[in-house]
Amino acid sequence: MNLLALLKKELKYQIRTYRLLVLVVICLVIGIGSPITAKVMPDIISSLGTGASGIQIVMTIEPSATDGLVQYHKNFGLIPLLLIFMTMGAMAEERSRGTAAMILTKPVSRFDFLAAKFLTPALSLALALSLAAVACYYYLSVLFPEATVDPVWFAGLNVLLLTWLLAYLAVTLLASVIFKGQAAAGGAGVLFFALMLILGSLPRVGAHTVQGLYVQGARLINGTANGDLWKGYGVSLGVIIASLVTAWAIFRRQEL
Amino acid sequence: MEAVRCLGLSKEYDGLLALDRLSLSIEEGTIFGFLGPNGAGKTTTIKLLTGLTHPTAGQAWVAGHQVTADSRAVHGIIGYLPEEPAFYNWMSGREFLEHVGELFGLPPKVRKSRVDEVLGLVDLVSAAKRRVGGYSRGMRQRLGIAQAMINNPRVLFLDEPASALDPLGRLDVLNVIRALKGQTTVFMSSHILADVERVCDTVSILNHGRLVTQARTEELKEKYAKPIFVLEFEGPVAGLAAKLRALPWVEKVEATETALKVFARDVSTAKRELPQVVSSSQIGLLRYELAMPSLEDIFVKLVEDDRQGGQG
Repeated sequence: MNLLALLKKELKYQIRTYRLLVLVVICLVIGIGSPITAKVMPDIISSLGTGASGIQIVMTIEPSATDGLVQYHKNFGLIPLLLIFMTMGAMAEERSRGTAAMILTKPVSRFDFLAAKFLTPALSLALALSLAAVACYYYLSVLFPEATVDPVWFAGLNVLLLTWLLAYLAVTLLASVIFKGQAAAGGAGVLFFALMLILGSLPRVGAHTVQGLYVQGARLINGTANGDLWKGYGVSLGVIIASLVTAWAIFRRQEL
Repeated sequence: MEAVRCLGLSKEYDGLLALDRLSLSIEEGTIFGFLGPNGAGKTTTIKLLTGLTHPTAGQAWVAGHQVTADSRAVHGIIGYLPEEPAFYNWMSGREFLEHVGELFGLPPKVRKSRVDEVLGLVDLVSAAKRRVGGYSRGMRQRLGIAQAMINNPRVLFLDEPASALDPLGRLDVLNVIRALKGQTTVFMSSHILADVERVCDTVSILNHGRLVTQARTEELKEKYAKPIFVLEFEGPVAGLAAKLRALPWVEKVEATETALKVFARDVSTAKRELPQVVSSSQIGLLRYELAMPSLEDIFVKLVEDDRQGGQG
């Protein structure tokens, strides 16, 4: 009951502060733009070589739906930063401003309060990603009619992206519980992202990081995914659960 | 029945004792003033009683529910206004109250009528649809009181409800609190003695985390106060002041050029003999008043006594 009221309030917040709109628009741009970019990029590159320079660029490879999918996957690469920016104040700001103290003297459990802070951006992300996926799938089928992208496989790719992104959301929420300032929470989120980028690129270690799941997304598109895909899922889900449980353990005893 | 009860409640922050074995009991339906200088431990006590912080030692009950063990039950029957109420600035005043009403599980119809009611009570009907971010400090304070009352609380905790306001704003807030008398128990912390004197039935004085005293406001005045003789003259009073200081029934004399404040050790003797002494001085008398000391005088005396006791 109270979780529902808190979710409603968080959703209103996402709408009024344009957070939801920004997320949806950016994801839609990725969803629509990726297949289009893949389709027209060879023409753009070819056109650069003509004219006064006298150089002619000939594109020998025909653009394909796979290029659109690669572009789609790649364009989501920096979305964790947007999520960090959107979530860094979720708990820190409520505590530093005093609104958490006001609300938590009502019949509201700290669990519900924290759950609403995770679930609302998670649902917003799921919605934005779904819209992006539908748009991408539609444009792929229009621009590359000869190719057939299995909708279940494509949904699987988006679930992978969602899981990977939720890991960053959960870590930033944990940072927002630990730190009182939202800048510090955001800094911790960005630091975690940078660390994952570095560790994710290392051989052997990479597969055991959150970023390993993202890398497996690229492999999935190229048809080279291996057992590390499940490792990536395991690590990302583990990070999500560990972050949320730790956040709850800290927040339930936190003095306001 | 006791609305609030504390037993040996203590709170330590990083080795610093903010509250030292506080034990007090507040009757239901009273307006209770919790007095103390800044840093005395008033806010800490309220945070402990509302379950926002955890005691280092001791126990507390609100309307029969133990705060630490049953905080959800406590939260259902209390209202709380922090010293600086914080709101979601993107919401309107009405929206915030609706949200709070929803958290209390009020059905939509009841919620709407209760929101209208509390908005009227704090005189915010005309500003209800405006964003809270644009509210003045006084309006925010009144909205804070409204949100604290949305559930018809059995105990209302108000932390310095009027201290940040201008005189008119203070008067508004105090009138709202006064109107609650008999309907709910109000636990109000303040360091502004005049406010407490105006609205509270019972007061406790806290200093350095320790309870100095608890009594009904009038009892406290009677117990600790001796009347003060206030005199104003047409001419200089230095000679008369010196004469008075030498008398055995006079405790202290405060003198300006043409006025005196006489603190009597023996009030009945002073009542009999002071007019004769004044008359014999041959200075024209403009004012002769037996003034009762204010709560502020008592507060200052008790806190000073406590300080001296602590030092000794």
